[in-house]
Amino acid sequence: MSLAPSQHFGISLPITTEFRLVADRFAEQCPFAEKAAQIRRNTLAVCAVNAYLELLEIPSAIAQGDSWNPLMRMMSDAADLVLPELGALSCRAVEPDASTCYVPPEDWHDRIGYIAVALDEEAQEAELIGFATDVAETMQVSLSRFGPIETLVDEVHRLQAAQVSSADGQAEDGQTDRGMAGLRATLTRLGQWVDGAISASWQAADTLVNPADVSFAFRSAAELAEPQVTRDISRAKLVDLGIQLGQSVRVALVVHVMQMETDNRSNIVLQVRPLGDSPYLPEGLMLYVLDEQDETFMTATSRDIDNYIQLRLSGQVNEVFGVKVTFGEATFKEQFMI
Amino acid sequence: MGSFPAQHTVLQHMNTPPDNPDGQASQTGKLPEALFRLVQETCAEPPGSARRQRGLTKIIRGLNGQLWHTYDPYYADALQQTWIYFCRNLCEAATADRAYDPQVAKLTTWLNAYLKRRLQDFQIAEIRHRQTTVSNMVRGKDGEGYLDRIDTIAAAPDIPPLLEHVRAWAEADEDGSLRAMHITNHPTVTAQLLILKRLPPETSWKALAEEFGISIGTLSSFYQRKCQPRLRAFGQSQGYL
Repeated sequence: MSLAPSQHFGISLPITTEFRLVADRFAEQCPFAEKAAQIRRNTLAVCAVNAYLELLEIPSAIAQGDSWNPLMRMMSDAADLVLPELGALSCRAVEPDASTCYVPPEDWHDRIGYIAVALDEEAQEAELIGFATDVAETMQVSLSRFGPIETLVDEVHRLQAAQVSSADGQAEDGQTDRGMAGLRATLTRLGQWVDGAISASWQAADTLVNPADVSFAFRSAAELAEPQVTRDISRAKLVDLGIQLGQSVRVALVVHVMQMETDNRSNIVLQVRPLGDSPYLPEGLMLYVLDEQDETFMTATSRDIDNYIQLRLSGQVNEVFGVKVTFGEATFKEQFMI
Repeated sequence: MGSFPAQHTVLQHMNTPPDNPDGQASQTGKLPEALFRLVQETCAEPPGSARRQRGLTKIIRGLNGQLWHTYDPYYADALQQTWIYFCRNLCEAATADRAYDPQVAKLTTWLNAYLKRRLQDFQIAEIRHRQTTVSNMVRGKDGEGYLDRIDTIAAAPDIPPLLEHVRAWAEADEDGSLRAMHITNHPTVTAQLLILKRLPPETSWKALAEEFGISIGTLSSFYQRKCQPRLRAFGQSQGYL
């Protein structure tokens, strides 16, 4: 499509006097012209998104964000808007004729999603161009990656529903694993794998995926250069995400563990690989690593040209992390202990 | 509202048939009928539902550029109030006496009437404001600027105490915790170092990534998850709220 998404899927709202006064006041607190301009634009973008949510009566808490905090907006490129209980949106200002949206690295993680906001101050108009849940650690994100602004509405409702079912789950079994959306996670001990134990649902990786795909793909250049790995092992599990958008989605979650000689650390590579006829993953499949508090620690999202996606992490013995795979409505989740 | 200008009266299209609530747009094909159906579908959904919210979004998008427009400095304010009025009263009368009725007026007519009343309110408020505060007015270069500009006194160009305060706190690191936190396998890249580097005028992430040989993603993730909570806590303890 050659048309900018804004021409069909955005929404234009006025930049009011109040927005401008607040933006000017915030910017004036910064003596560095470039940073002051950034603060001003961030404030206008946050105000515009907030005004949209106000129209739809979606609760927001503008003053709770870093963008409203005098110290934090100086110490980061803050354009966050807090939705109570749900998380924070990132409201990124762009020029009216832009084709990409700048997302600063400090906004790459822990966001509900990103809204590109074209500011046309002459016309006193802010256009919410579109919404994206993930920018895959990219600074210049093509606006074609942003969906219609209605997808923001959908995401808010999806999160609200997950919040409710998570609260239900807590009421039932007293667990506090929020973000679980009602799914109970099992704990898999990676140390036992290395010791030779295999749990029922996990099998040697080369029985599920092509051995050639597995062998050296896991080693980063640094790890190959330093032969300090004592033991390493790959395991895979079939993850059936059911029928999504008319296609049956079955993938392999591959976990590769490398125990280091020198300390108690293990390096872990997580991959999601397709298991159907297509050598490619469906677009928009997401792999998450969650920390002990079930907060998103890292994410990767598949494009339609990816034959796998992966994340790397390392940790000490007995550290706990979660892995989540989502596609469409379907979610798979498992807890691991290193 | 006796002085309300008569060129676009509310009652002009009182008898517009319900299948064509927006005669103005009929020049552009099927939009009016589509818009009418959209209003019906939207209002059939419960308030606060995703479908209601999507519908309101679509209608606002469809009305973009079709409402009364002026170059009043407070036009944007009046327009925002109009959108709020639209969302609150299209289906149910939340703030108005009656909800929108397609049998009575076109959508644009209904909204323009409200928009013009708000513009008038602002005009009246401005006239009153001028009469009482003429001595405080400073006109902008372009002749705009209807607001008091007592804040135009130039700000001192020196570093505000806030940033000096952050620097002193990070450099002192009294309990040593900022120095103790570092990026995995990079003991020299500490929270203290990153906070000082990101103090405005800050070093770019790209430059930092090159300097330390660490990816931007790893650096920014550490900054976001380890450094920012400490900065927030410091700000709070110092009353920067």
